[in-house]
Amino acid sequence: MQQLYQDSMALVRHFGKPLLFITFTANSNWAEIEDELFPDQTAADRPDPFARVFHLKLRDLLGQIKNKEVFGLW
Amino acid sequence: MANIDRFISAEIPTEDDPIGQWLRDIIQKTMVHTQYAGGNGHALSMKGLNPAVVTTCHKGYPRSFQEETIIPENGYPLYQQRNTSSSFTIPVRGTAGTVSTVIDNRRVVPYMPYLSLCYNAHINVEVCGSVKAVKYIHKYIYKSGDKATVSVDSKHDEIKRYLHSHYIGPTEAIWHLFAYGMHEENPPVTHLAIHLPGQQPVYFSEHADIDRIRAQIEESMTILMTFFTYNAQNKDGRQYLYHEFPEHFVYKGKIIGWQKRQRGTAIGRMYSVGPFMGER
Repeated sequence: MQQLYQDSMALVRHFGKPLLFITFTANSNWAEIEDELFPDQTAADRPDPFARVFHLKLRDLLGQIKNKEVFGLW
Repeated sequence: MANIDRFISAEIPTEDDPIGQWLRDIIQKTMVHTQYAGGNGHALSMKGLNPAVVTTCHKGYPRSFQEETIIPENGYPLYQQRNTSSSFTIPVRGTAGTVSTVIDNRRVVPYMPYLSLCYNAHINVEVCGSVKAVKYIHKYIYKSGDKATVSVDSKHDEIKRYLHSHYIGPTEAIWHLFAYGMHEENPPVTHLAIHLPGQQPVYFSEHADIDRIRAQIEESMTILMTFFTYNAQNKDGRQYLYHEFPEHFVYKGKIIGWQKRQRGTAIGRMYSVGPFMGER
């Protein structure tokens, strides 16, 4: 953990301070999760599609920021 | 300031076109801090606070109205949260829907409209005031979950003493089972060893004989030694300092050493040497 911290401070040294701090939280009402539920199940009963859907959306969000540059190039 | 307002909003959307209505629905469901709304003193964010004395919860909600976005001395921006008529009502928690309360701009968590529309989820977007955020990430993500000591009843006390574990939720357990990453850094950071000539670490088995150990000392190579070897044999890397070297060359292990970088980049980081560690 200490080494990882030193690594990220090396990135800060190179690029400067971080500009944005983004928190992304899953939404248990996402249709992609609800479609996978069996009758009488809630999202809390099915961590497997929950994790898969969130992982896909997280990759997509990172792609929006890195490749589609939704925040531009500050 | 205008740049911040272009990307980040902390107000209830007021546009009445279909997209505006859709966004307003998402914001009202995902981006409003409602825990303490309506005087719910049992809210988690009110822990240890007396609702009769304080006006805001631990997280600072409700905020004060803010005519325009400003960045105060402490570096934490105050986003535009105007005193407009836009508001909506929600039922107060713990009252079974009998009491409702009005939510206005002061309880909206900063968000980016485009991302909220894309994902219909809680996505908090904040401008970073300082490098403290980097430290915060380490506390949050890099550490493992909450620790607990589990004791199993048996006579073998040694086992009891060494059985430490931590508990994680089902979603995080699945996340690990799928081998999804907990963090990701880009570009990669190359660790650069520092040592005096002849003081590189040498690893050998405790059963090794003297000739084997001697051979291992002869063969030992560190990233620093390969850096010197490369520059002794090649002229194309001599203008770069040690910590700049990984940006232009790739370390391929101690046998191959360094090669000219074909693509990508990396950042070099020398291990820190404290004043008590002697000469390096």
